Amino acid sequence: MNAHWAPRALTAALKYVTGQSPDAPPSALYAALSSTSADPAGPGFTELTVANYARQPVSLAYGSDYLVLSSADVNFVNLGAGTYLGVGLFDDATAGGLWFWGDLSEAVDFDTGRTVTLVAGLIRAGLSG
Amino acid sequence: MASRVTDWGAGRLVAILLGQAGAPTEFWVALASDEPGTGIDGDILADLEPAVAAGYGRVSIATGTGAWSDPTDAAFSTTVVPVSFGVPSADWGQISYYALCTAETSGEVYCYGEFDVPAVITATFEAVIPAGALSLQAASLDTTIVPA
Repeated sequence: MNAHWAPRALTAALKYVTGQSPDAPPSALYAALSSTSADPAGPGFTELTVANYARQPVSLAYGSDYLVLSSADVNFVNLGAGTYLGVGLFDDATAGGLWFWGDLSEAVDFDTGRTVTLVAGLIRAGLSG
Repeated sequence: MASRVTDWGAGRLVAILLGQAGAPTEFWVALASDEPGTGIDGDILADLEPAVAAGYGRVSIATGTGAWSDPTDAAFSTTVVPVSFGVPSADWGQISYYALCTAETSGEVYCYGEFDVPAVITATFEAVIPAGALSLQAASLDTTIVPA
């Protein structure tokens, strides 16, 4: 999976480092699944609406020159049947804005009752010049 | 005007974003004759800077909206004030690059950039970087991860 910074995150990072933002960094990020590409420049994040689906909190870890966003497994338990392609990290459990996103290499179908797991380390993002 | 974050700078932005490092209150602007590169630090950078004996020294620029443009929708922020290095006491030679550092000497480097037009700095003329000529920008680094 390619993990990317959404414009909101890039802007926030630049605002923090140049002293332009009085806001604190997000206190938590929540993983969400999309049936379409999560690319904010695309058609838009189409969040799943299947049974038992809800965004899940993500444990964050920091590396010296990269960002590991998921340091523990993230589990979406006992879902209704569906398909997901994109993964997004939002700053709110139900609303908020997209900070990081990534797409699987291909869409994944799952049956009713399955648990979708984003394994630790699956999503990570860094910066380049 | 385009700039690149260094390896250290990329990690620092991430740490600041996660609240694991404090944001700086100032940057020290350095001038360089050659491209610093992403692995640079403040000590190595010194080899590319004009000589202190020629009247050169890094110049502090504050953070905040009074000095930096809003990066919203731009993915970069530029200076909105000029940065003066004073009048050299001897020639500095050609200056093609700048860097934003953590300290007046040594330290670390957040980013570096290339001037649109290199300048040959000679003695007795004030060296000034005009507003808008320095930028701090970053881009998302693609990291391909194979699920376990």
